[in-house]
Amino acid sequence: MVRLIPPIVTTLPLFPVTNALGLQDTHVLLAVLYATFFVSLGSFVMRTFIDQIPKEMDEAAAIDGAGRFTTLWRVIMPLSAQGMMAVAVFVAVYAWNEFLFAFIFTSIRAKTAPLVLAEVVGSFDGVEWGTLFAAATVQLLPVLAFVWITQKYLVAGLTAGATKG
Amino acid sequence: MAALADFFRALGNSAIITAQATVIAVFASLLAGYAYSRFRSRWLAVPPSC
Repeated sequence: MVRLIPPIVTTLPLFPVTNALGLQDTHVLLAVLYATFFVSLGSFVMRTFIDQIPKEMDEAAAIDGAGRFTTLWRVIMPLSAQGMMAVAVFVAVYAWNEFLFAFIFTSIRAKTAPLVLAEVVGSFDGVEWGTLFAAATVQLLPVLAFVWITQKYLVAGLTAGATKG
Repeated sequence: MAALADFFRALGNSAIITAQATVIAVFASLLAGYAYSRFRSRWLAVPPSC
């Protein structure tokens, strides 16, 4: 359901809340917002990966004296590392490129790169296309490198559960 | 030069926010995914197509 709601709809009620909490123009606010919008999809991706881990592993850990959290930490987490990487790629790409929340909830301190690029386009002196494209390329490089390194996990995340049954 | 410094500061902000969002989302997704996978409840029921 969360994924069906257009993000702009949530900004109006969020604005007074963030003001009251003193979170305007902070890194934490944007991080929590981006994470919140992705946890719904991430949960289903993780569920698909964890479904593939036999329940007998949990039971074996329980026999060895492990509690729920220890089982999660010592058994489930290492075995679902691929799923975690897939979720990390999705979230990182979304958070890196997101514009709307950054535009509304930041002004000076936590301003992100897409906002600065947009300011270059909207400057009164005319658009400096050379500067704009250089900056866009610099902004693209880190996320491109990250996705290139982790692309095998991304494919695994997209196809996980595709042949279930 | 000021604009360049501004841009790189914004790039740093993007990196910090992305790192924080990724850690929070992955951890929360792991916990939720584990609950969805291992526990059966009326409240955790999801359509079979998911």
